[in-house]
Amino acid sequence: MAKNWQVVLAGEGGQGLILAGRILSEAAIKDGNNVSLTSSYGIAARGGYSESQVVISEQELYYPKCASPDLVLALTQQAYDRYADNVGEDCLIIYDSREVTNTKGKNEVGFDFKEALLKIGNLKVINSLFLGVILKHRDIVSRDSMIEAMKNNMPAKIHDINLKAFQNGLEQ
Amino acid sequence: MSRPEGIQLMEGNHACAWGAIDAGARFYAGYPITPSSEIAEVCARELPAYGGTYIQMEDEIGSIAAIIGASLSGKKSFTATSGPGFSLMQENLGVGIYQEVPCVVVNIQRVGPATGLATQPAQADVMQARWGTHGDHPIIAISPASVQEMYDFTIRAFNLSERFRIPVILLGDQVVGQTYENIALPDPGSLEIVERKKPTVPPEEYLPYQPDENLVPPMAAYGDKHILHASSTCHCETGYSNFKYGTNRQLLNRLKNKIYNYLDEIIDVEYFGPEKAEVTLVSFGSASRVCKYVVGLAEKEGIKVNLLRLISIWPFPDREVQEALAKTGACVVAEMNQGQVINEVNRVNTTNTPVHLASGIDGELIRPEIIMASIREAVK
Repeated sequence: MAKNWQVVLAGEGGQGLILAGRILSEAAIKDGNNVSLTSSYGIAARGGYSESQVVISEQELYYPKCASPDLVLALTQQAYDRYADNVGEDCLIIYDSREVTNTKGKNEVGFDFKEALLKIGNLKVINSLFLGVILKHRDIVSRDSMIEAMKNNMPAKIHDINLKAFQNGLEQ
Repeated sequence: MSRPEGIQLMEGNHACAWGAIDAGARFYAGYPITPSSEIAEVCARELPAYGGTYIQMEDEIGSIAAIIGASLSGKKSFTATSGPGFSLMQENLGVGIYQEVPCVVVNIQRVGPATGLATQPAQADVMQARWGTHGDHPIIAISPASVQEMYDFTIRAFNLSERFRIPVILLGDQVVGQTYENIALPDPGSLEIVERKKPTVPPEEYLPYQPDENLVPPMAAYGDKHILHASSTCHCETGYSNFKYGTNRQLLNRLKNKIYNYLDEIIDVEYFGPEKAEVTLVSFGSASRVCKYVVGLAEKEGIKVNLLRLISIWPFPDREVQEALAKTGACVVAEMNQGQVINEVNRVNTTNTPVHLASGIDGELIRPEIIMASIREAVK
């Protein structure tokens, strides 16, 4: 039986968390799993706390939220603080080391997303970058399914730059 | 975009819109409101290709008026909204019930009252769905709990509304409306679709409110040779106002009996978990999913719990709830409000089974620990 996954992508509005949740979910479906994707956001379009929760299972999914996340991506201090004390020991937290300065230092990895994005030459592809970083640490979905799902959700003209960011994340 | 084929990641609201299209809905009028707006979005994009009509109205009063008019003109019609819009629809909902107009009103519930938490879920419009419009009246409301059911139950809502000539409420919430899950839409040709009964008598003999053997009058459309007249005033079989002693009694009783004499066609529940249990959960909609999860959590604590999930909420499944209460040690009603369905449960609690409330009013899907706490309380 494949492992079930509960993944939280948390940060603020405008960081592509909801699209990334969608891409991860579609990739999991391509791998033959059941998926539940929920997003939480405020009434403002940009800024403010925002998150996606992706639950992946081979079985029927009852609880559509992440009751005990296996992986949390925290792009802001607020996102980090929301989860750091409430997750199990096995949960990996990947955080943005520029934004999240006050950490607990348990099962977690800091990553300088901005530095990587500057090297890639595009600050907008943060979601493709963090999807790569996530897959580097945990085999949640197959890389082929992820690439296919990314292409399905983006106009062709931005495929290359996003695949570059994804690849960059995988290689970190 | 065309109709999605194969296994898809789909949002509940999108599944609802596709369910409506597959059920034969060809008229949507609405005023977009979070968290239901994606239903309007899909209808605006897709309905014209099906020969249908999408109208963005000035408000929700106009929206329900327009779908009533469209249905009286022979189209399957629907609208979607959330709490504030549902409040505005109440007066005309009564018109739809009184004039016996098949249509579907989707309410993707959010936290209220007033603007409340516009992007967050609640299940606090249960009683509004039942009694929000004034006067004695029946209503049918069904409650989906997944993206798949947003599709399936929208079709069911149309079928019930056509069969019984009554507005049907699809009572969802932000969780089922805006959660994405994998779904494969069936071949539309494989679906069982109910159409309203048309008159079979010659036009000159047609009385638009003369009931058939099921107490439901066959329905002509505006513009047909059979002349349809619909009035929101007390009316007799001609459809024209009638204030004679006895007319209103006869009409109200028929409106009630056309539903309550056929509960077997409407009432639907789901049983989950062991047949015998110390505690029976009663829940509906998205909260009932959490209950299924909690059944497993409780088992780990050594407490035997099962679930009676209400699929049809109105008419209330009196008999099913009564029987479940008689078989269990205690009951926990899990709902995302301060206690609405629990009053109905208590109404039919002839065995005086202890009934506890697990109330989720935090603007999120009810947490498993809230339900677990009520279960522990119930077995203390």
